Amino acid sequence: MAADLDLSPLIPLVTSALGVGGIDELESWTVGELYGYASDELDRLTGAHNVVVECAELEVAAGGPNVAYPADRLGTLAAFWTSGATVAALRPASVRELEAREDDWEAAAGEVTHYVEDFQGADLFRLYKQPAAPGTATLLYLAGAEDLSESQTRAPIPAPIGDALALRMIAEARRKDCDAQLPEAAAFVEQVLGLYESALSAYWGEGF
Amino acid sequence: MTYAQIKTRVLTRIGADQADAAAQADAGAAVNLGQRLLALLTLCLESTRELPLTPGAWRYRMLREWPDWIAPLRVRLSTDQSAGADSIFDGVQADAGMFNEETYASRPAPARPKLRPARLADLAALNPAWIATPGTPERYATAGFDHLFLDKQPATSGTVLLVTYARSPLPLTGDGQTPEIPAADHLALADFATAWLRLPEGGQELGKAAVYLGRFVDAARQRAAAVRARSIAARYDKLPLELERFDVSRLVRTLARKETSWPPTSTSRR
Repeated sequence: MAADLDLSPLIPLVTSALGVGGIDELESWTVGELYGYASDELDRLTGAHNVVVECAELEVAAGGPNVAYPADRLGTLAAFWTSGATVAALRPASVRELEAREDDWEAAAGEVTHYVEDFQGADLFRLYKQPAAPGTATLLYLAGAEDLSESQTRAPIPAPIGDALALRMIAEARRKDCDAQLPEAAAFVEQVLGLYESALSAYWGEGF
Repeated sequence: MTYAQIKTRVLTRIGADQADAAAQADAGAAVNLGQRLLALLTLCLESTRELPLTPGAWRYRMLREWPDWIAPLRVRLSTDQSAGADSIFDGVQADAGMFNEETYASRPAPARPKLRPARLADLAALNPAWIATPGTPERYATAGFDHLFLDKQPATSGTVLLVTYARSPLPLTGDGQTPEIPAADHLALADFATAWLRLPEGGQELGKAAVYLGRFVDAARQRAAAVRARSIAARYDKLPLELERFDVSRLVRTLARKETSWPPTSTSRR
């Protein structure tokens, strides 16, 4: 996505902090390895702080209550049902709650009011009741970020969080067991990363 | 201080050659990094811009609208087509009215009413069909880095929001440029960059530079406190984090002792 933050301009900052003149002079690390460290950190941040949110509109046939999650979903924020002129926010429910509510809840058909996430594995959710007419389930969900690499250097994050990924590259590179290992430098960068972590918790939450 | 003055201060402190282009570039990158971090920690930079609403749209990706987006501070309806210039630090905006203020005697309806912040669950509780409810928005919610949701969606174009948001600074590129953060904090950028440039050396040099990082955090803490007080007075929806909870003395002591664990586990190690 063109509007996403490009991390490649941060690489000179990283190589400078590692004491080398540029990516051509990297000996103890590779550029791909550095992006791997950043990618791992981005994965951790998305899971820990609810920071990447996406929306999917999933077409549902009449009588087809099971809906597959998007592949990148980590957690659900909200779900909506649209069918014809009907639009409704769906309430989350568990199988246990629906069993208590209605003996034959799986076969019940009519107005869709709830969504169930513990029905059958982690790859799909179920609508209750079964929709009598086709419609669209709109899912607002926490997503995993795309892996970063030399060929995929963009991420949907604000500029200061890009810095945090660059700092993670430095910390992990300096912690690596190699001739260029520098634990005190890794510790220094971790201290600064603690500041970013505090900001993430304060502004975007503690995760789910 | 200008960008060049800050870089000069940094390179003098670490004894680097002022004429070395690579050293200048490294110092510049460190200063920019410090400025972005300070803006994140203190939310001291803000802009107020117009967001024209798309008919029927219930959600917006703010990083795609404005790449310098960090977090919303205040969202209002706009009827003022001349608005949209960047606001300045300590600028006073006392005309932010709330809905229903006109019900008070002799109080006119606000020209630019503020949208109330809400959670997604609140919007659903108030109106289960909120994602497809035509009307003038009264509440907004956020999720993730940049999603902004509106409880009602205008049916026609022409509705504009005035969004005040905390933003990242513009990068410093020219030597004559002045950092956007308040002038009192410019020296903190030199402190941060001084510590940062000791990073490749490690060992004692890095340990000695830890005091500069402590000074940077101290400056950020003071600025965050000032911004927080001002934000509360301005009824902003988001406040800077409380850096008072971040123990700077522990940080400096840890680095000086070259400990490698995070977080430091004890304050009794002296």
